[in-house]
Amino acid sequence: MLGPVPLPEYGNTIDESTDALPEKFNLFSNGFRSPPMSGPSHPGKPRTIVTLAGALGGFAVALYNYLTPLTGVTGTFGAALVVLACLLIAIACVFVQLSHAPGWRGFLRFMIALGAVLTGLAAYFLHECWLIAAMAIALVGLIYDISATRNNSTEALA
Amino acid sequence: MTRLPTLLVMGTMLGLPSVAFAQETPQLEATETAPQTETQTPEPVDRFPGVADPILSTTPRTRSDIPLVPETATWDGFHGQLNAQKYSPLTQITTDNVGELEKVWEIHTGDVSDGSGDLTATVWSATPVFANETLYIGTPFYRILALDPASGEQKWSFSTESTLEPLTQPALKNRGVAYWENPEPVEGETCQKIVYIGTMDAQLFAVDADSGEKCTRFGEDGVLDMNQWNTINDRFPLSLLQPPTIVGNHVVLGWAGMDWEYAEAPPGAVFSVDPQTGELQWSFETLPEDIRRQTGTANVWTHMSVDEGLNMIYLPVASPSPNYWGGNRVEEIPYATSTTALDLDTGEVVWSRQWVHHDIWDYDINSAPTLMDITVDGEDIPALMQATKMGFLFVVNRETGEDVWPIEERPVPGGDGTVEGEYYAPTQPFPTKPAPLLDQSEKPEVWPIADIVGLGSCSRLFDNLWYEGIYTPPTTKGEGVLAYPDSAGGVQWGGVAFDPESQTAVLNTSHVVQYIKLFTREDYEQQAGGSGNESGFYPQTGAPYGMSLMNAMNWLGMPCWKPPFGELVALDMHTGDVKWRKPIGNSQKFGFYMPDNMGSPTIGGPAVTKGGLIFIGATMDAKARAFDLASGEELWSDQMEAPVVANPAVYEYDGRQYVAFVSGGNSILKPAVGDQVAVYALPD
Repeated sequence: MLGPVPLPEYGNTIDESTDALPEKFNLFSNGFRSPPMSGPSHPGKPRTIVTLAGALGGFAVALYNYLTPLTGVTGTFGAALVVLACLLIAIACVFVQLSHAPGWRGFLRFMIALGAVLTGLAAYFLHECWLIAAMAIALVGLIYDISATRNNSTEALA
Repeated sequence: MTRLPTLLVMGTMLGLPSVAFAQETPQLEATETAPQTETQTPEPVDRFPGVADPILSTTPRTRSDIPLVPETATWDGFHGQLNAQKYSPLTQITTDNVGELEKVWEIHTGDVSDGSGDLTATVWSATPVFANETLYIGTPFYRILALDPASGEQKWSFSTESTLEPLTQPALKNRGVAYWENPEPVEGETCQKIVYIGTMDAQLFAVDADSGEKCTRFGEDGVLDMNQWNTINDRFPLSLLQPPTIVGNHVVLGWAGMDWEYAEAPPGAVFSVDPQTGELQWSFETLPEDIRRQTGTANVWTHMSVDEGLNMIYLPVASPSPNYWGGNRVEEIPYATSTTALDLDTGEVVWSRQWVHHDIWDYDINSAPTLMDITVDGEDIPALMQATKMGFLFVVNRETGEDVWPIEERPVPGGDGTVEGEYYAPTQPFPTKPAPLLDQSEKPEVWPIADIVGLGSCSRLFDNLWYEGIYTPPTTKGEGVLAYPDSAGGVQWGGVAFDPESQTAVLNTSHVVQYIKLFTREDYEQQAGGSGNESGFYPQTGAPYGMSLMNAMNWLGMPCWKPPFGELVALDMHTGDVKWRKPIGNSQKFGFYMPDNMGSPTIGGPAVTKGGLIFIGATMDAKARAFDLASGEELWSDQMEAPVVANPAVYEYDGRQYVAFVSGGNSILKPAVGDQVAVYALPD
């Protein structure tokens, strides 16, 4: 689940169903469309929204624990590290959403998975339970992202 | 257990390699019945050649009707009560409801420094004192705060305006205040209740407990200058960081110095002064007169305990100067590194037990002995437990100084020939019960994880350290000598708490591996290292050797020795056996907590209550905790600002039980400082 996931050669950014989503859920529907590359390209579908939500939620929790007195990790290097990690995961989500290059996207997903696992592990040692939950959400979101991509690409190739 | 007749204490007992102070030995009986002549008084026999013999009580003492354990809830001193039991008979908070504890108030004193600015970092180990319906606290900026016990609202504050410079210690330190109350108050006069605070520059201030105004009759305009008695080797002031021990009409003062800096330092002494005038009543010198100038200290820098019924005060005495080389003090110094009992009215020695002979490890006796009445084998014994840095717990009869369980003199390693002028005690005292808090007989095992992370540095370090059990002497060879534990280990100044109902002793202990190396003066001058709090390079100026004391860590700061690093221990004092022991708290590095089973090094100490609870901070993770006294199960915790390195205070006010924690931090645990006082109670 955590390792790199084989990506279909084409069609992994899809899709037909994007337009079916209400506009308010379509985070990247405006201003983020990239010019078409090879194969179908419709990056507007928010496949990474769950991962992004986990990352941003984790960022908020981690930042709170870093800044708030009496969290037990206030101002520590470890607490700062997970703040940064969550931020990087969130940024990586955006890039996955926008990316069309399968290799690059695969690399980003791998890094997101690795980051989420290591951040979750760090959260365990920082006694930040909510951050563990946030990273779990991020990982679930990543699975959704990958599976959604795979389904769509399979459909595209059918 | 049959006790030794007190007059036999200086009797003959051959100094065998391993000799218990067994109190029914043939040798003793022979001495008892030996024919005596009028013209030939037998010389006291040197029972243990090469080391100071025990000095035991030679006259029986009469006990008054003042009980050892106060009949009402009392927390008016550093250790709660004069007996240093840290015991509260309050029962509102119990094992069943402690989980409901809530913080009812907290304050931040503002008297804190992390050392990043102009001010040196603070270390704050003050236990609040509850008296006069007020909570009194001293701060590391040498201020007194008088607070409402229920709300924390400030009634008054007093500032000594003392210099905030680290004159003797590496940090600005304070362990709180002391309280005295006139048993026969004079109506209309101030200062019938007095709060005392000392300063690092050796001034003792007396302040009216009701108003916060100076008591001008005390000393000179309300200030007693301890330095008036600093007449030999006065290289530093006699710092008053520990509040005085106060009993009856005595304010008894020890003082703190500057460790590891000088071979010749102010000689240790304790002073008793009048609580209202500061006039000297008596003093007690710990060093023989003829060697005071060539050595020094053996001071009392921590709290003392008192049995008012026996009219005796018990002193935990530190080691002489310099701390890691003793070539300038090869004579016997019986009161050094000892527990010494004095008559409260005269300051004369009643008995004394030296716990480390010719101390060259800085094994200061660092906590007030805990006085306890215990029943062993059906016999009621007025006992005393002395916890130590070494992890030994010595239990003796507090009337006479005799063993409760045998304390044996055992051979210990001599030197390796690298240290000139040194003398090595051939034997050291080892208690047979309770068992040592950690196994010092073998070199501790390397922690594989730290070794792997350190790419084998831990193994290499341990291989280069000499260790033949505790009391392996310092050396100039290799990386030096391993010390397990040394100055940061074992039991620190929080001492032992005691529940008189179940006769359970409770303490926190640390497992810390350090290493000591001596350097010839020439080699020392080439060292570029700095010094810290209880670690680093120190010159021992005046001695032929400088020294270093380091913690055994890998490059990442991970301990090289196997966990646990700290434990909470309960002992059944009927038998001296361990009831339970568990790792306490979490070690923490960069914010990351290590697993529970590793525990944390500890500084600070416990308090126990009749409600069946142990309250304690003391851990790196800066948590205040409550444990079940019967089982050791953790029942409650709350996060504090910095490690709680003082014993908590337990008091009752307006029918409500409170537990107060002071979160001040100590860089020995981790570089965190605090100025927080947090007080907990059950919901209304």
